[in-house]
Amino acid sequence: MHDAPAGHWVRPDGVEEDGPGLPRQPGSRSRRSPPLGGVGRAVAARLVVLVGAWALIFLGTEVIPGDFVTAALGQDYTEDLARRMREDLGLDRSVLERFAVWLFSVVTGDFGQSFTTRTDVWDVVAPRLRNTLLLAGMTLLWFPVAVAIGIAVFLAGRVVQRTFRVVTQGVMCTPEFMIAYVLIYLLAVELRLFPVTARVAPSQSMLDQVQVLILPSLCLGIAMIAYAGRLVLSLLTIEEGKDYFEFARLKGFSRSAIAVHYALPAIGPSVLNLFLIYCASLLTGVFVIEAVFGFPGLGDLTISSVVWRDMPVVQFCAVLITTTYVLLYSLADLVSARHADRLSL
Amino acid sequence: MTRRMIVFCLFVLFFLVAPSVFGTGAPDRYDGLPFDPPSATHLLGTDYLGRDLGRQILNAGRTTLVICIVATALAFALGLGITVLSVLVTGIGGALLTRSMDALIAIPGLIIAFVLVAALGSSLPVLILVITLVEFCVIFRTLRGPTAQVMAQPFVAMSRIRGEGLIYIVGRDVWLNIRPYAVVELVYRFISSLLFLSALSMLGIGVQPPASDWGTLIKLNAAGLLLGSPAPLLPGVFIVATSLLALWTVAGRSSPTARMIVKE
Repeated sequence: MHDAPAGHWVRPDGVEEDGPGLPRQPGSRSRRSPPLGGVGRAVAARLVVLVGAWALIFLGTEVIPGDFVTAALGQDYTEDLARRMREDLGLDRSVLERFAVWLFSVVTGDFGQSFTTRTDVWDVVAPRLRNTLLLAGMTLLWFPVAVAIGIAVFLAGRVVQRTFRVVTQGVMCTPEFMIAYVLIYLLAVELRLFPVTARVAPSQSMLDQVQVLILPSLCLGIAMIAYAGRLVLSLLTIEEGKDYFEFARLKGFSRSAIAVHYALPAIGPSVLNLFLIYCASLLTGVFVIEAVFGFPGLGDLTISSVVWRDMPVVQFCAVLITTTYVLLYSLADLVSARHADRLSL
Repeated sequence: MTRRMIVFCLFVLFFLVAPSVFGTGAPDRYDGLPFDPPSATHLLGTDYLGRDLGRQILNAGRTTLVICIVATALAFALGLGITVLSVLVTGIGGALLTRSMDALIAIPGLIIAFVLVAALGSSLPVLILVITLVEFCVIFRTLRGPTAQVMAQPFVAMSRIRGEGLIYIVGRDVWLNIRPYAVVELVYRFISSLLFLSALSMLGIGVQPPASDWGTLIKLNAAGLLLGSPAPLLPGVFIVATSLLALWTVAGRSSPTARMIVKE
């Protein structure tokens, strides 16, 4: 049996009947913003989701069998020592009790001490977070390039557009670390333009650190150019099919003039939405590239903390990333909801 | 089943049977020097321990594809099931289900993987569980809208009044109507799980030696890059080829969400 075209329902007996077309974008993203006064409800809903996610993280990290005490004591393990250590670290209380305490500490911003270094979790995470933010920030500099490439390809004509679509499809099917290895091979090993690794130390000057990070950010940037450039091209192609575009054409405007003056402002909110969602995906997207270049960022810290079962650090990293993730997605939702409202006026 | 899908199935089938046909190549069998360039005896050269890379790739291919296919299938079944459940169950239970799903979706895939791998160790079942969990969230997000719309149609109410069971309603009423979207989504999830598994192996928490998948091979052979050996790049070529071939089977069909394969 053939697949049902959108807008037709297939009844079990095979008879097709007309129906409303399926929505192009189901889920929260296409949902209209609630009427004025509903903002509070939207925020409350986000908060519920956030606390739910925190609870899942806490449960996930608490379910882990073979707790920290067993791992840390190793061969020195004795019942008495383990019990004393558990009491010391507060691990002997019930899960619910610990979650309540933990939730309170998350809200107040006090994340406790790392099990392994016995220093404040924030002190362990802060230098790594700074490194990761530097890399992510440098990667985001490629976003305007991606948008510009999308516009340029749109203006260049059909052959270029088709080629671009095929190439970007290929890039999107390529793992980011593959792009990284190819670039390392070409630019670092063969041409010797960049260092092979990205080891940075606080003692290095800012300029040195930035220089070291050009290649890693380029690896992430190429994937982004494929993704964002392609989306900008699609958005512009949709605008081209609209009446105002044809009207301006008939009035004698050139395609490039219409694209820059009319189509670009029209797709602005969508591009902003895309940017925010990209930022969210970059939070963990940088981890793989960090691993390839041996870069001491948040990803490296999280993985080693997972291996050592240093739960306060794991929980903090997970909470930090998840919270930022939800925040960015909420912002993206807000942008598209406002845009939808404006269109419906 | 289109011709393209048959080509893709044959491709997958090749990797599933290849290790049995060409020999599994015991992990302790060394055939040459490390990072030998491709030659007549070793078509793709040798790896970092001097083993035949071609055979390694075939072995890893089976592991990779089995994990991805099983995980995609499980994620899809689970995703469809939870989607229908979330539409059917009303009241507090339904709200709780939807909210829990929202919370799960709000956690990035890699974080879920970190926590679960730390908890249960990295073995094939755990990897399948991780990928299933991550992908099924996406499937839920994509299919919930269309499914809710179909479930609200009069013919579903008719089926219920007629006394049809849940299996009939899901299999005949819902599935036929969401199939065009579901098939595209299925392929996207397969590609996404392949890329996700490769990333996990790259980070060292995926498939563990002596077993290997394509991601592991890339990680283990990375040092060859500095010696000008293509060994780290060749397994990647297979990852890309598999993804592209999968994408090609549904080329030209649009997804309901017009979404790209977002790497999260």
